[in-house]
Amino acid sequence: MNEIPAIRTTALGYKYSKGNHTINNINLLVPEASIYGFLGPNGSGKTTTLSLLLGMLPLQQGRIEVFGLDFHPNRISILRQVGSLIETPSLYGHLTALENLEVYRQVYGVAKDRLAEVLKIVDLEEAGKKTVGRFSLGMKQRLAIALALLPKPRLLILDEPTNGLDPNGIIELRKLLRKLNKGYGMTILVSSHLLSEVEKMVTHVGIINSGEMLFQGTLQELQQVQKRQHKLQLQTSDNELAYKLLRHYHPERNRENLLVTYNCSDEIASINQLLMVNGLRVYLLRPQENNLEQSFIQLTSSQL
Amino acid sequence: MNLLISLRAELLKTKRTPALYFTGLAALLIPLVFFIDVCTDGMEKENSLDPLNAFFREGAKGMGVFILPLFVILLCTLLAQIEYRNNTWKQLFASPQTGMQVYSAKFLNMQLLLLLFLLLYNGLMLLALAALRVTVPVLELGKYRLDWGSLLHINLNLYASVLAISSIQFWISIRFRNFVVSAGVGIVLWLAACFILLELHFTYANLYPYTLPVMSVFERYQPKLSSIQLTSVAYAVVFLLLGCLDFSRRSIR
Repeated sequence: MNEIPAIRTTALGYKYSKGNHTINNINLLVPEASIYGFLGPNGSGKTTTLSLLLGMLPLQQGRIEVFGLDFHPNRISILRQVGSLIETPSLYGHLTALENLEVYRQVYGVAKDRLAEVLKIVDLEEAGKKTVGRFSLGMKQRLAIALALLPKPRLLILDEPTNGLDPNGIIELRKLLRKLNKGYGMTILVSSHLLSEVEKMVTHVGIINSGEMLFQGTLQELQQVQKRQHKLQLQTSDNELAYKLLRHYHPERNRENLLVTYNCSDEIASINQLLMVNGLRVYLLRPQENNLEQSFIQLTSSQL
Repeated sequence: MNLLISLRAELLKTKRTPALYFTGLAALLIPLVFFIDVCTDGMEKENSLDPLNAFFREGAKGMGVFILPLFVILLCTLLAQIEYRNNTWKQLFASPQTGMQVYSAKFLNMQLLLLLFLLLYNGLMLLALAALRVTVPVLELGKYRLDWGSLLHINLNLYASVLAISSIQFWISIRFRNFVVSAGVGIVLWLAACFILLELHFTYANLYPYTLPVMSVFERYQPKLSSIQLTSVAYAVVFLLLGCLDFSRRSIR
């Protein structure tokens, strides 16, 4: 993997009006050729961060580097290599799909053949001559992705690209993004408010909430965090004694039960044995396994 | 080169838009009114000596006072609405073009539509004359010759005098999302110009950009014509630069 990341932000901050920061101290690190899932609930600062990365908002605080270059002095040359879709599709309803692509074809300096290619990639080759005003939301979303792919980008920035797509469309999009990443080495930064939507395709994850980064790392690292958050629900004949015996497992009192953290199934057996050996009767021993989505919700909700 | 590429994109965006249809319809207005008027009431006596050129002179008055300023106000509004209605500013700002390039290309596109409007207007006036030659043969329009030099002068005069309004209205239309604001402000400023000229007879009326097309077509202001045109061009340049600077500093939410 290339050592220069596709995107690196340093202490990025932005506020729309005087007062609270919309985002604060964002240190994003998107490795080249990765699929980076940028996750956070609605209003967490994802779109603001992505808008800053594309130069749609002025830089107020911090630094942005794309492909190792300072963004603002190199804005035009960088944007030639970046495809983007921010929130809703940006398309001209009175033009056909082909005309919409043609508007940007020369701006990006790509050959005419590329129009048919990108329409084929998003499975819209039959709809090229139809005006976009008559497209369904899903078709518009796919055309907007075609537009983002038009310059054969080195970096693709997609903000909530699954909006308006049906389940099949979401699966197709995942396949497409994986193909672009694997086949062309394209770096993809994709934002979503649902981890489940992106966890099957991303290699790296960044979690943002209330304008602050809560987690950043590989998917495996997030899974480690998730494992640390597995809880075992316990009820014994003497919960107070059990609480003392299980100090090592960081127990929490939860009404008539205890909650302890565990890392693997073997630990459940060990906990049970420990209680039994000390003469406690175990009435309830129930693992509560968090999936990644629950870990994500816990990470983000704990900050609210 | 980059500007030409951006201009091509702007021209393509104008395809099938109300701005384009409106250009054709607005150009039709005066020729149609003249045609109906001459068909029903005949030619006015003072114009019957040189009916062809009188036709264009009278047309220019209607253009300078009403049609041209209102056309420019609405055209600027409609063009800016192409981006606002489709919510496409984001994509435009995320594309590899400078703000100045985008603004200049949009402005040039508007100027091309303005020139197309003048071209269509003249073509339709000629068509109306040809139709009158057939429908009202008593006018004997075939006997007269059109002064092409004077016609060119009238058109250049109209174009130069409306440049200031075009530059100001273009900036306002790009600046405000709500089309009622840009069109409303323009119409109020134009009404104020009519009031200044007709009621106040203000000495420095020629410094108010919205009076310039009106002044450029009336006899009593002809001695000041060069100054009117220069003022208009100067305002156009100043507001184009201001608009460019403002647009370049703009951010998209």
